[in-house]
Amino acid sequence: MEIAALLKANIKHKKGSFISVLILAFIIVTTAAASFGVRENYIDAYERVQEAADLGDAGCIIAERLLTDELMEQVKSSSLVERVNVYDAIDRMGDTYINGNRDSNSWFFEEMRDGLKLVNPEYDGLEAEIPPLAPGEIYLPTGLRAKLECDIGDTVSAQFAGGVHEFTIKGFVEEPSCGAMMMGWKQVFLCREDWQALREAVAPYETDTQTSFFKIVYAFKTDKEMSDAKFIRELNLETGIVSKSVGALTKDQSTNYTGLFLNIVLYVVIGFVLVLFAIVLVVIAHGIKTETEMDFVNLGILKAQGFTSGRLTRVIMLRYVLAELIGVVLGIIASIPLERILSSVFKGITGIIPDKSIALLDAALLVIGMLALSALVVFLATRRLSKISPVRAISGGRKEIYFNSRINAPITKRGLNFSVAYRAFSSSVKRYLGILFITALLTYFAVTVNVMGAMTDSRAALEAMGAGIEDLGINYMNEEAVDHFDEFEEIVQKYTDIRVKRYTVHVYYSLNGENIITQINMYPETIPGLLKGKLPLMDNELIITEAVAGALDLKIGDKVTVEGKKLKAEYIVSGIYQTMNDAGYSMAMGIEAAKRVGSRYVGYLGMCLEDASKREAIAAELREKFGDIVEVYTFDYDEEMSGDVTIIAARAFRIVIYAFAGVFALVAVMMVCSAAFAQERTDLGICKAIGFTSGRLRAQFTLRFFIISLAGAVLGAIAGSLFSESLLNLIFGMFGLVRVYTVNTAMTYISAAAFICICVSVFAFIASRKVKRVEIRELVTE
Amino acid sequence: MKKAILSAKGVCKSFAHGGGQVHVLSQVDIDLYEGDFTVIMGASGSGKSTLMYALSGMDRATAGEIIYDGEDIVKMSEKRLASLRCSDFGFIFQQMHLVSNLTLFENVVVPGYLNKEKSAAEVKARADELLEQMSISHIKSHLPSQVSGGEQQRCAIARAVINEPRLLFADEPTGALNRKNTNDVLDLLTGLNRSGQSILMVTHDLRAALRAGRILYLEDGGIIGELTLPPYDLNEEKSRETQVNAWLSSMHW
Repeated sequence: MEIAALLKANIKHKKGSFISVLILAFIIVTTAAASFGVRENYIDAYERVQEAADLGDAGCIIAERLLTDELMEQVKSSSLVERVNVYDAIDRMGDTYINGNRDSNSWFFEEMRDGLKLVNPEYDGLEAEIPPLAPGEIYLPTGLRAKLECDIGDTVSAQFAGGVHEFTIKGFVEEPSCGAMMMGWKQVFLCREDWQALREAVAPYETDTQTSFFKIVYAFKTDKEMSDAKFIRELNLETGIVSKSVGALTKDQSTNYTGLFLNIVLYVVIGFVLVLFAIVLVVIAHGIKTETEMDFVNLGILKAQGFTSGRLTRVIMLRYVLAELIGVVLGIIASIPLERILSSVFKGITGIIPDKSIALLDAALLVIGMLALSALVVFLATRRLSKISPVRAISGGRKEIYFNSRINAPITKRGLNFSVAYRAFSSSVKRYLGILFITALLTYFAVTVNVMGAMTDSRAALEAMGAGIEDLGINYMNEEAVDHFDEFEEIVQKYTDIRVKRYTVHVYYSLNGENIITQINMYPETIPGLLKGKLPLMDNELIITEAVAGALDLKIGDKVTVEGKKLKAEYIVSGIYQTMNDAGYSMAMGIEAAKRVGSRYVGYLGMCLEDASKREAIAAELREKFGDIVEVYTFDYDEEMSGDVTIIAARAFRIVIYAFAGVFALVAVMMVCSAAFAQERTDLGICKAIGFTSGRLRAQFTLRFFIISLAGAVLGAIAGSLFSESLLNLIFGMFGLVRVYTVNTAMTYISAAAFICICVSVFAFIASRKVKRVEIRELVTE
Repeated sequence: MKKAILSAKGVCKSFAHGGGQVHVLSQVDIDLYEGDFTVIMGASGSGKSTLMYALSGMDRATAGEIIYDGEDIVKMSEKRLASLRCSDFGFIFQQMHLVSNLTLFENVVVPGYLNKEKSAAEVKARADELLEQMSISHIKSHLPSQVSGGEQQRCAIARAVINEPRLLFADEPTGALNRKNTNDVLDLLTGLNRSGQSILMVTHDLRAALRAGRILYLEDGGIIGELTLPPYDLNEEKSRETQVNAWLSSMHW
C-alpha cells in the first residue's frame, strides 16, 4: 500500500521522465512490432503462395528441344526427385513495353495454370476466384505493376520472333518463384487460345541457335531435409539438366531474392531499434542518477521512516516499467496502421500481398526483453540508494558535484557566454556522458543510413559493388550483329570516347555441377567488384563470388570444371569478386575462356561514355543504321534512378529514420535538459542575481548542449566512418553482397552530425525556456 | 541633508497561496541614503528579505513604486533589471551562493566581465585587489566547495562590489557563519561603508545590527520603527548594544 502511495506521488512529481520513457518505449515498440509484423505477414503469405503454386524445390528453364524424353525420364526416375511439374513457355525475343516503359528482362509466356492467386483491384487482398482469361488478355505478376507503373487495362507490347504481340492486362497474380520486382525473369499468363496462337506464330522462326520455346521444370526433392542447393547440384551431377538449362532457381533462392529488399530494410530497422533501446537504457540510468542526487534528502527521510533500499528500488522500477508498459500498449496499437503502410510499400517490391495479422509472439518477446533489461538497468542504477544514510542525507551530506577538471578553460570577458557554458560542461562532464553517448549513437546511425543511402543511390558505389551501369547499351538481336562490331564502336567514337567497355553476355554454366550465372566479358579487365586475387585475364581463369566459394568450398587457385551445353573444360579460380547478379551467386570469365565451353561472342556492348550527353545522338544513328540487328539502350542514371521504386523506398526509409532519430533526440534531450536544469536551478538564480539576463542564460544552456552534441556527433561520425560499412557488410552479407562499397563524401558525415547537433541544440533551447521562470527569491533562506 | 539613492513608496508584495493571496509587504515606504549603512530587522516571516529583494530588483513588487535614478524599478524590463543588478547594485546572500563550478577568482570577475564599462584587464586587477582586501587571494583558484563558509562569504562580498555598486544589499550575510567569520565579514562591510559604500542589510543578529547607522524594524509587512545611531566605533560597542537592545525591546523583538 505504501509502495502504491509512493509510486503515485513519484509519477506525479516525475511526470517529465515518466512521459519521456513512455514516448521512447512507444516509438521502439511501434517500429519493432510493425517491422516484425511486416516480415511475419510477408513470410506467412509467401509460404502460402508457394504452397498453392506447387512449384517444387528447384526449377529449371530449359530449351524445349534440349529436354529430351530421355532426360525427362532421367529426372523423373532419379532417387533425388519425388515428382516433377513441367510447364510450356514461350520467351519473347526483344523488349516488352507497357505505357512506354521498357523491360528488357526475359518474360516467359505460359498458359494460365492452377494454383495462382489473383490480387484484388485495390491491391490489398486476394480474390476468392481467378476468372478465366479471354483472348487478348494477360495476367502479370504483381512485381511488374510497380516496376513498369502499369495497371489493369494497360496494353503489353511484346516483341517475339516474327513480330509484336499485344495483350491487355486483366489483372495481377502472385507468382512466387520469380514474380518479385527485382528478379530478372518473369512468368506471365495467357489463355489457351492465345498461347497456342502465339506458339504457331513463333514456330516458323525456331532454329537450333535461336529458340523461343522452353520448358519450365519444377522438381520436388525426396529428402525434405536436404538443402535446395545440394538437391539441384546433385540432380545436375546425375542428369545434367541444369547445365543444359538457360537458368535454374531453387525455392530457397526464390525466397531469398523475393524478400531481399524487405529483409535488408527490416534488418536495418531492427538495428536502429536496438540503438534506440540502448538510448532508452541510458536515459533511464541517467534519470535515476539525477533523481537520486536531486532527491537525496527526501530519500534519506523515507529511509528514516523505515523504507528499505529495496522498497525504494521497487518504487523506481515500477515507475519505469509502468511507463514502458503504457508505451508498449500504445506502441502495439500504433504498429497496426504502420505495419499496413510498410507492407503496402514492400508488396510492390516482393509482389506478394501480405497477411494482416499482428506478430504477437515476436512483439511479446520484444516486450519481455525490453522490460527485463530495463528492470536490470533500474536495479543497477539504484544500487547507490543503499549508500544513502538517513542522517547524512537529511543533513544535506551529499557529495559535491563539481571538481577541478583538466579540460577546464579560463573564463574570458570576450566570449563570456561560451567560456561559462564550456565551464559548466567541463566541470561536470559525467553528468553529460549520457547525452554524449546518445548523440554519438544517433549520429552513428544517421551516418550508417547515409552510407546506405549513398550505396544504393550512388552510381560509383553501385559500380564498385558489381552493378554495371552504362550510358549506352547495344544488344545483339541476332548473330549478324557480331560482324558489325567495329562499326558500332566507330559510330560511338565519332561522338565521344568510350571510357569503359563492358561487353558482356550472361549465361548459366555449371560449375562443379552447380548451375551458376556466368558473366562473360570481352574485356575481363573491366569486370567490377574484385575483392581478392586477380581478374580472369587468361583463358583458363575465372573468378567467383564468396557465396559461390562458400557453397562449393572453393578458394583462389583451385581447379574447377565448367560445363556448357555441349562442352566441358577445366579452369583455375583466379579471384573472388562480388556482383549483384543473382544476389551475389555468380562467376565471371573472359570471352576467350568462355569459348572453351561453347560461347562464341558477347551479346551486349555496355559503354560508359566520356561525354554521356551524346548518348541519344549515338543511339539514334545506331538505330538508323543497325536497327534490324541490334537494340540500342540509353541510360540516364539520374533520371532512371529517381523513378526507381527501391531508390524511392530507400530515400523514404532514410527520411523515416531521420525523423525517428529527431524525435528520439527531442525526448532524450528534453529529459536530460530537465534534469540538468533542476540540478542547476540555484546556479541559474545566482547568475541572474549577478546580472545575467534570461536570454544569456538560455544561450549558455543551449551552447553547452551544443558543445556536448558536437563532441558526441564527432564521436558518432568517427564511429560511423570506422564501423558503418562493417555493419552494412554484416547485414548485406546475409544476402550475398560480401563487401559494401560506398562513395562517402564529407557530407555523408557532416549532414548526419549537423542534423543531430541542430536537433539537440534546438531542443535544449526549447527546454531552457524554464530559465525565465527561475526567480532569484528562490535563493532566500529564511 | 542626505541624498536618497533609492526611494520606495507604497510597496506591496503578495503571493498566491492555496487559491488566496498572502500579503507579505503592505504599503512600505522607505528611503535609502547615500553612504548609509541601513539595517532591517524583524522577526522571522516579517517580510524583511522580501522587502530587500523587491528593493534590489531581484523580485518585482506587486504594487507601489521604487525609484532609483529617476526610474521605477517595478516597471523596469528584465534586461534593464539585469543591467541594474550587474552595475548599480551588489548583493550578498546568506548562503553565499557562489557559482559552484567557478573558482573564487572567476566568481568575482564574471560580473565584472558582464559590465561593459571596464576592460578585462581592469576587472582582473580590481578582483585581485578585492581578494587581497578580503584576505582570500591565496585561495583564489579554489572552487567554492574547497573553502570554508567564511571564505566563501568574503568572496561573495568581493563579487558584490566588483562593479563598485552604488548600493550593496546583504541578506543575513552572517547567518551561516561562526563567530570568528561573522566578525570578519562585519568588519569588511563596516570598512566598505567607511569608504563610502551604501549598504542595506537584513539581519536578526544583534551584533550585525550594531554596525548600522540606521535600523528599521519590520513587522507584519510594514516598517513600525526606526533607530538612528552614530557611526560605529568598536570602543563604544557595549553602550551601542544596550541602546539597540532597549529599542528592540520596545519593538517587542
